[in-house]
Amino acid sequence: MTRVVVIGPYPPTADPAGDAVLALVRELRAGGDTVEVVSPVPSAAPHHGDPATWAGASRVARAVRGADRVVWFGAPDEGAVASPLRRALATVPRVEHRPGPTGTREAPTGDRGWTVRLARARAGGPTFVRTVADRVRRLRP
Amino acid sequence: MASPPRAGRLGFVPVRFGDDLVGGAEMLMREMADGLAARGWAVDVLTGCTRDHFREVNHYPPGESVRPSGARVVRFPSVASMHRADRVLGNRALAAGTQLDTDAQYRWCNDDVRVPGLFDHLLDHAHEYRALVFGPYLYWTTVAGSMVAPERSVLVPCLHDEPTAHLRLFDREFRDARGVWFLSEPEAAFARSRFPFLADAAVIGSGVDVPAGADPERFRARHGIRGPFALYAGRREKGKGFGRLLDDFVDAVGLEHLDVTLVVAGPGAVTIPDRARAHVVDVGLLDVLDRDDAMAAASAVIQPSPYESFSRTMMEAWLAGASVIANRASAVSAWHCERAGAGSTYSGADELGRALRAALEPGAREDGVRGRDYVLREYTWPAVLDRVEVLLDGWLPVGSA
Repeated sequence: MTRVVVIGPYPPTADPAGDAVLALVRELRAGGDTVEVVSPVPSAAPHHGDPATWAGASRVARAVRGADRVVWFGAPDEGAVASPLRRALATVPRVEHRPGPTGTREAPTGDRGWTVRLARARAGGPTFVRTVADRVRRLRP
Repeated sequence: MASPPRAGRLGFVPVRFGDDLVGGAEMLMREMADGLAARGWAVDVLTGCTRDHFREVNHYPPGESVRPSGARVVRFPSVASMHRADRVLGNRALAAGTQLDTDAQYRWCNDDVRVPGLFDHLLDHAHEYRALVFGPYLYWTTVAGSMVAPERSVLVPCLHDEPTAHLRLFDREFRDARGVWFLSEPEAAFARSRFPFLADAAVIGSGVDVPAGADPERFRARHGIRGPFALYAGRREKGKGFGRLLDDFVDAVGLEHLDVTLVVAGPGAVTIPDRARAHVVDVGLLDVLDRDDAMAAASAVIQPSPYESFSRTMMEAWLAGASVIANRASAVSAWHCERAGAGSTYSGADELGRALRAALEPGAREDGVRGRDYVLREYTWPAVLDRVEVLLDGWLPVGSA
């Protein structure tokens, strides 16, 4: 029996990709596979986690570990995937990326992850502290 | 009429299920499932472990059990977020009349109590059921579950004109289900206007058990209540019109100079405002026998809720022979009063006062008799279950889906 992890939008969702994910899950379960779904936000899936954030990627990684196959709908660029998930995916024998149907919204991109924010801050980009400090400076006579 | 064949398994999918749950929708699903099981149907109740949506998300243990009726109950673990922020903020926005965009609607829905194991069970086993009955319309179990096998899904929406009913999120279940069972004509009329693409629909009503007998003096003695009183029985919540009732009642007895108490019964603690304390007696949660005694003892039973899809309380009051005074803002309550030729409706304290005065008149009991006749004619369980079986046979004949 194959253990398959499907990552993607899952019902109930406004994202049309949710229907495609559900159709695949039905097909896999009917074929006798053990299927676990991980959606980016809470849904009918038993797990959820935003792969672009460290905490979310860690949750997805926990589900992915030990899988024989991962199918990822609407996967973002590799650079936008936080490292715990990148490491977990590297151990899976078969990882497939599938685009959502036409009109599907993009999966969350990296600007929400704290790893990405940290890299931006190190490069001198805006942070909460810097923004507040700038405002205080501007208010001073 | 020959009974249709009772072949095939029926699945009932309420968000919560238990003999200790108070609420019209919960009781309807429970009694319908038990009633059909007692008639020989194979019935499964597929539900979560929740008793209270916010406080007791996993109150009941997961697993299987069999009810005295023969219905099998299968519970799956319920899941809820720690903060419930999307749910709480969404509820506040809806109450304030703010629109939720599509994403916010789905976040609000998915921040309800979810039951992923139930969803998986439906994915694997929906084809084994002749019909899957979901309700009420607004819970996650109905939104998500009815998507799995819409061709064999029947909604019992318990719908009324409230802010949540206007969310686009619900369009899919009302459009794609095999059919929708309504509890009253006003509910069906509202659904047809809100969902022009509505699936096949029928009004089945709701059954109410006829009490064997009631003893008004037993209730008075047990709770130390003297003199005439009006009764409120149900959840003491803002949405049920409870807070407004307390204000209106105090104003009404003041305006009409009435010597009448308001007895309030229902689950949970309740805070009575200072100005109402002299007029209100809280007797807490009543068991069925005590409730029937209370209704028989009451001069009037008040239904203040503006949001009703059926109003079981009115039926129970009429079965006990009590007069009913209902909030006219509920089209369903007003419809029952008109059809029954019994009860009265009010809007505001002055009309409530006049209705209370009329209910205290010696001839008021005749009104309750007309109401009782109406309930016995329309809403006994045998009558409702006959309608359900005819619809199952018509919409979902054996081997159809």
